[in-house]
Amino acid sequence: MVKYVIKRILILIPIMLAVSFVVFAILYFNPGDPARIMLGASAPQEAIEQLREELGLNDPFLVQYFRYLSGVLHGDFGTSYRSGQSVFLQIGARFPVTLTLAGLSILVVAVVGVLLGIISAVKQYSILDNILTVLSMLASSIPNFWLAMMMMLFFALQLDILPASGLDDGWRSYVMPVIALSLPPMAEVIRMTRSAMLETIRQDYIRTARAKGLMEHVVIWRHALKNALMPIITVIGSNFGSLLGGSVVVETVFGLPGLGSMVVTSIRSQDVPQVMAGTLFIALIFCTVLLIVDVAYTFIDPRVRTRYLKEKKPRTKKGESEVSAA
Amino acid sequence: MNPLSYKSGKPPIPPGGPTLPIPDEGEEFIARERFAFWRRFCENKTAVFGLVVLAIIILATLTADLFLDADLVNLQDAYSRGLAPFMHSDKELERIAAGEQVITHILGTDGFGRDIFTRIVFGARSSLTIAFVTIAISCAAGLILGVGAGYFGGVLDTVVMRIVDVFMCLPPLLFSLSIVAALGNGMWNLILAVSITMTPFFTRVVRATVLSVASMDYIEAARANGATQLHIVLRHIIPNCLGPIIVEATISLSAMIMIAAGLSFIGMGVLPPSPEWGAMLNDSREFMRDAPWMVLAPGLAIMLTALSFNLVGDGVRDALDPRLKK
Amino acid sequence: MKRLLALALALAMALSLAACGGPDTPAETGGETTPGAETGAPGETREDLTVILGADFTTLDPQKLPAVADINFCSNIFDGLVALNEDNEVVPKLATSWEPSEDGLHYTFHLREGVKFHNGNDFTADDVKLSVERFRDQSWMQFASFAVDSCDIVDDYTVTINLKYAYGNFINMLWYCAIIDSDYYNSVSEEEFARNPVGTGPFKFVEWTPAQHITLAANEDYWDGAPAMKTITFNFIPDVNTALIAMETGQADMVFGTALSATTFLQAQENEELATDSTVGNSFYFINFNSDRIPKEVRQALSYAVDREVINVMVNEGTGYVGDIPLVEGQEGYTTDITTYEYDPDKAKELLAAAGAEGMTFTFFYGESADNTKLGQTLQSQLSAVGVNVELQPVESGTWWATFGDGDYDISRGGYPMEAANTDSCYYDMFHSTGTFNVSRVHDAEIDALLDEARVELDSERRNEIYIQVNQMLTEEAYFIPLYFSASMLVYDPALQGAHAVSTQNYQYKDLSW
Repeated sequence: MVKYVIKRILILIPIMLAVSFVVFAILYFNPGDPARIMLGASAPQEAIEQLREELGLNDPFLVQYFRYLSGVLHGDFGTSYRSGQSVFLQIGARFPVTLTLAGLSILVVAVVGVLLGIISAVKQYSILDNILTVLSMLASSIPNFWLAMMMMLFFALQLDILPASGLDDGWRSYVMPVIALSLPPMAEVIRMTRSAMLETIRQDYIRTARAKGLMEHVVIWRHALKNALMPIITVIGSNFGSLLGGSVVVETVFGLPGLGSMVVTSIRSQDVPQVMAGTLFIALIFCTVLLIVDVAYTFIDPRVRTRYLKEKKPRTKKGESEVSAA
Repeated sequence: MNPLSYKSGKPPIPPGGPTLPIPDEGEEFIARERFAFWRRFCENKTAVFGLVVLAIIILATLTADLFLDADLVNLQDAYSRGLAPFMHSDKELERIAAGEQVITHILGTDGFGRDIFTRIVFGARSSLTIAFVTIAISCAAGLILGVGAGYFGGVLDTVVMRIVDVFMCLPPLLFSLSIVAALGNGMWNLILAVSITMTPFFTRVVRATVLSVASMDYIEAARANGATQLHIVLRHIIPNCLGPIIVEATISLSAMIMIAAGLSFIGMGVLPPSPEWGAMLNDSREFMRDAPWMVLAPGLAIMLTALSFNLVGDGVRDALDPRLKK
Repeated sequence: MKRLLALALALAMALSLAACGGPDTPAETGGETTPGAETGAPGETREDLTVILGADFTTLDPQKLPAVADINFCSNIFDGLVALNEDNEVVPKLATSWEPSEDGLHYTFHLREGVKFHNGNDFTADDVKLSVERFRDQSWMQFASFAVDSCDIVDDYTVTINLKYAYGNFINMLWYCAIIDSDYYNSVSEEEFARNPVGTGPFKFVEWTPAQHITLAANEDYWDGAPAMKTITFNFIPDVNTALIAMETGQADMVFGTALSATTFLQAQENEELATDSTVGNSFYFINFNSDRIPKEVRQALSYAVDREVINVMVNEGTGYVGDIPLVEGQEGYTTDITTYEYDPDKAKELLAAAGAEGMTFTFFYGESADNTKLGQTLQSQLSAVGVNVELQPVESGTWWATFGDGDYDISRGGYPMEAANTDSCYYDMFHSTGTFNVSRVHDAEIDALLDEARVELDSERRNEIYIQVNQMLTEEAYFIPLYFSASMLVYDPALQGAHAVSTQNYQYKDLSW
């Protein structure tokens, strides 16, 4: 088991390296000359050339990439083209914000989503179930940035009960961003939980459990949920990507100083080192969550666990485990 | 939007009979299946509702020139700025008094005095084009890569799937964002960027389906009968992949609408003055307090379109795989 | 029971004392400030201020500041040898007096004695020498320092600044030269220096959380008296709507500049709990034709096609001040005799037809901002009315700055913060063929000659005549469409004393109190 987890963590390393390569390659094609941006329009051509040489911008692509990579491995994420300051400083200030935002959102998605999904399934065809079904259908179709704007209009402006932006109000600052981010994926989780629960409730062993005279909540929580958890976790994991991507826009709307808003402003100002670092850290959060999801499978489903412990053939290792999990 | 939740490769159960017919490629079976699919789809009231709404949207978009003046899309009027729905400016009232034909702003006007309804209807063109074209491109690419990886396996499979793994470690919106940044703004660049982002999802779905289909007996049988690889792929593998692909594509359409709108919203997609919904939201953001209709209308348009895609997508999935809907 | 009550009372008293912070202990904040305005009990005078800024800084190195807004901000931390007061007169700051030499090539400054930097170091001639030389060498400061040649130390409190040529406006531009501590500068890295500014100004730098806020504390030993505000928090809120909401909910006390748009300003005006003020700003906006690509006849035709009042309404909600030349009364070159092309679309079409330029497509290249996007769309709409297509080409504003010099556009737009007391630096920059902000790509030998002459002319009257002549030529050639001076707008808490809109947006927080 531990071996498996370690193995998965080790897989993260080449994946992150590859991600860095992909992003670096994309940004390499970014038009615009960092040296000119740094020096301004009035700088003479020789100075620009000199700076290009200093920054190593005239080197071949791969040389530049490996130079960047070795810097990163030494904890040096370069200096911002715009401010000339260490990118690491920015990341240090912004990473916790995005991490908190994403963490809280995924927590809300998982807890509230699963809870509502179970209620919906247990009380199938009730008014509550119908309302939840309709609402979750609507919620999964709301663009999160629009939801953010509407909430800002209502809660900050009309009611004045929540801060409109920034992080000055502690946890209250996170309320609206977290709702904006978590509502659409939560809708998916509600729907998935409902259908997964319904499916398991119909299984024979649940009928048996009921027939044995077990209390209904024990049946639901101990037996049914445990078996329905697999697809639920899958759907949480696969929605985390859009949640994290959404944070890029939502952070911008709420003016939160996170990685997402940094990437947006840096992408516009072609501040490649900042974009690189921001994207890498977001990818790291994403990969870590995917890893946790994968590991969670093995805890929940003994079949997966035994397969991983026994299987030696690596061919169908990754893609399939997730598919067969559904 | 969840590529993993679909139970791929299982032949659909025809209604009225619990036994599974071994699928053959006989014309009669396909015709019967198609009819059954429609019947099952039509049984699903919400899906039909979604389809009707979608049909209305598409129809209105295609015939917009008949009932709306395309010149009004970008016609600015300093005297009609920020008119509430159904209001007329003084100038317009004068013209009405003089017996001139003046259009009624049923959704009001924006900060440039442009008619919002006209813009929304014409804006649907870009939103729907983006959604359909990106899906078409990424489905096609996903099909080729997925079949290649899943059917031929080996090194090709490893390479393709590792690349897919890497690409999927970046949140879709963020990934598209960096590609748009490299390519530059504009609708076709946006389409290309989102297509690249979505291809890995489809590749995964297709590969998983191919893997389960390829091990079926009738493929073995075809192979034993001396069918060529190409024949097997074209006649057996691809047709069996279409189901999951169609389901995935329909559901992803709403995600496409959202990603495109989100990118345009942060100014990294379709550029003004194109009436793209996300760009419209961005344009009107600063007026949202005094003129909430300016941000309400495009947001609702995105939501309604995404909702109808979601409903249709669910309907298609249920109709293709009735086991999920009991 | 009674004992408990007494204890509670004592606790409450202790707490309230702690909250007051004690009026006679200087606010030596260790970085612990509570952002958010509504602290302190009612009836007690606040000593803190929360200001909203539209964008974070890239650096706090006072000689590498890329934007005027940044320069204005840093003038609260750093002093110059001189300063401009609100009537744009040069007043003494760290120099108590100065005298130019006969030929105007050397300026001798007598420095203020007993001034200390925030870190306790004494302010002396060494600091001035380093500052002036650095001012001369930094590329961002070229617009102000181009005439500076060298700086000589006469004694500890006297320096001489030598010019490359007699420049009449030298003293008007000297306030841009922030005085830095030479010992501190030499003891830290450039990066550290850019993050932890140490000056002699009325406020000390406390902390900077990127993308969130900067905190300043009062310099209690300021040579010109301690400021009333003990702590100032600058919150960065890029979104104008959010900034206004923060004002309305009392999270902040004043907002101006890029954190305020015409729309939010008008909304704030309707709010009785907020005070607003506005005045004509010093930034003038143009639509610039690339004269390398668009011939004079077409430029004139297009000038007739643009309704500047409508642009002002669309972009500024009508708050801008439409003008025919980029100067206001009192500046050299100002005249009411010059009027630009009137809005006349029919004439525009006629001229376009005559020039054979109907149905042409031009690119409009601009740096992205809410205002420029509106300007682009409005221009596009107005020119399409005379049959000319405009293709919008937005880039990120920094990229625009870096690349407009290539001249790869048909039309662009420029906004220039005019110097109240110096027409030379602006006009030379914008209209001389070697100017660094020559967006219209003016290459006119005659204009060059006039501008060169004015630059070294020491007689203000003569300069005035030259600039009027230049203005006439610029208008005749239609190198650009002059649009408007933007309004300098300010929204603040009505209880804030001393707050009013400043044309240059150079707010001195020392003048504010509750």
